[in-house]
Amino acid sequence: MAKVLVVEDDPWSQRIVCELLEMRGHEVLAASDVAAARAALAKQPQVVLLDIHIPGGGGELLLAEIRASETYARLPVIALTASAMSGDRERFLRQGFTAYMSKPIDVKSFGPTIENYVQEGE
Amino acid sequence: MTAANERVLVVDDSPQNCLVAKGHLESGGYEVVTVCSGEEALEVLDKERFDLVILDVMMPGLGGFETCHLIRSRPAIADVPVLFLTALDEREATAPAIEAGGDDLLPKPFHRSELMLRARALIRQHQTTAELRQALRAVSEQNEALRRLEHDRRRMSQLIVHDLRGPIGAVLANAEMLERGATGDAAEMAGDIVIAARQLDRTARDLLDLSRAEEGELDARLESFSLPELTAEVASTMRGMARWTDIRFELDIGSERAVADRELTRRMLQNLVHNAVKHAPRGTVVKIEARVDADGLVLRVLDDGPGVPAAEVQRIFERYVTLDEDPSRSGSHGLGLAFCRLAAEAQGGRIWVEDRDGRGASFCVRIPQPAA
Repeated sequence: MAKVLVVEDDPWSQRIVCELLEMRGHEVLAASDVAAARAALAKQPQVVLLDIHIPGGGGELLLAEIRASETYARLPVIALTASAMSGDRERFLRQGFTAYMSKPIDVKSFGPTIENYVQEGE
Repeated sequence: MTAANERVLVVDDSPQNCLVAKGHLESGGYEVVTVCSGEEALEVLDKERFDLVILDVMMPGLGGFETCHLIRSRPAIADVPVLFLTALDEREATAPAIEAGGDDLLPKPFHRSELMLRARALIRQHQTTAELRQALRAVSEQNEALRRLEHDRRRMSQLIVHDLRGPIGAVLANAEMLERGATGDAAEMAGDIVIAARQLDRTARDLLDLSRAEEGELDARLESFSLPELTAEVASTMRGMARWTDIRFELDIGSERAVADRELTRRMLQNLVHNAVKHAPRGTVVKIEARVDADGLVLRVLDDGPGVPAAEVQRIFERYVTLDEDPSRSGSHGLGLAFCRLAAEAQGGRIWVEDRDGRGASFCVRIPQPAA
């Protein structure tokens, strides 16, 4: 059981990600933009799933804020992106993302992968 | 025929000469203004529009050549045709007339018809040039508008395709969950939805990839990877679709490691295998070959389908070119191979198709390997 923050503006993707996590018994906080995500951080999620293209500044801005803050700097943040191209992976990791997952998400491996990062973060 | 609004400026220090020229030109239907010095000519030209300037060469103050030179140096009036009238020997006057930027030269004394002929020719030529210039401007404006429109259209379709991927992903994920919990027919139907949704997603992604590739955003990152692993990955994602049409894969994969952009190479191979499966007749074999040899990394995908007609072997790698007569039914939009070409080229390689002596198509990719 973990508390997961899902930041994703596409309602379909948000819904499916939340469902997959809830089915595995996790508590899900959902946000659709940078401002809502900032507010949700106060509820102390153990891992963040962050879409790169979210309104209000983009996932990269939110990540930079998280990495710069004293409270959340070590929080595992996983990039979610629909446009995975060569080099994106390196770029995301260099920016400070813990990992990255490309969409469409793989239903079978999704839950276990997230749970791994929660454990690593502890 | 002359239009009433064709205006000629006559510049001559001799009032007599001015009158003669004016009389000739007016009888030809031109509107004529006369002045008696180069200085006055420049002043009038700054205020009024003329279709022709007739300049006497020998004048006190500013001479004809200097006046012409000044006309050519003022952008607002520089275009106006200039005809020199001169009592000098024609040969002597020609070089300085050209030097000054004049258009023609008429030795004095002249006949009315000579004057009229040159005036008409110069005015006509000037008007044609002006019309051409205007047409050119209109065409380049239209061209620019089209370019903007095309840019907007591309951007719009990119946005739409991007937004399609969310719902497609939801269909896919839900179908996968259903498939896992179901048995019998229901599991099979859910499985079909999964395959269909994957195909939709692939088309959407091809479109996005292609846009990015065309905008020069494909930058290849070389890494060393295992060929058998890559091929197995591709084959496993294609097995579902291959099962539908009872296609078997035959793999002939070298055990070497390859140095290339793994993701681009995987997508390329996936596109080629997908095409092969789509075009191969039921119950046949699709061969996938991959190896590293002296020529570099070589990938081959061979099928027993209809093959590619010789006339199409180049064109087939262009965007929107497909051999299917009804692209909407075959799900083929001519995107996959266009992407493959850009992906191969981004890695310094190339892609081509070979005929298998009428037995189907053999798609080949070669990517050079760094010197060991």
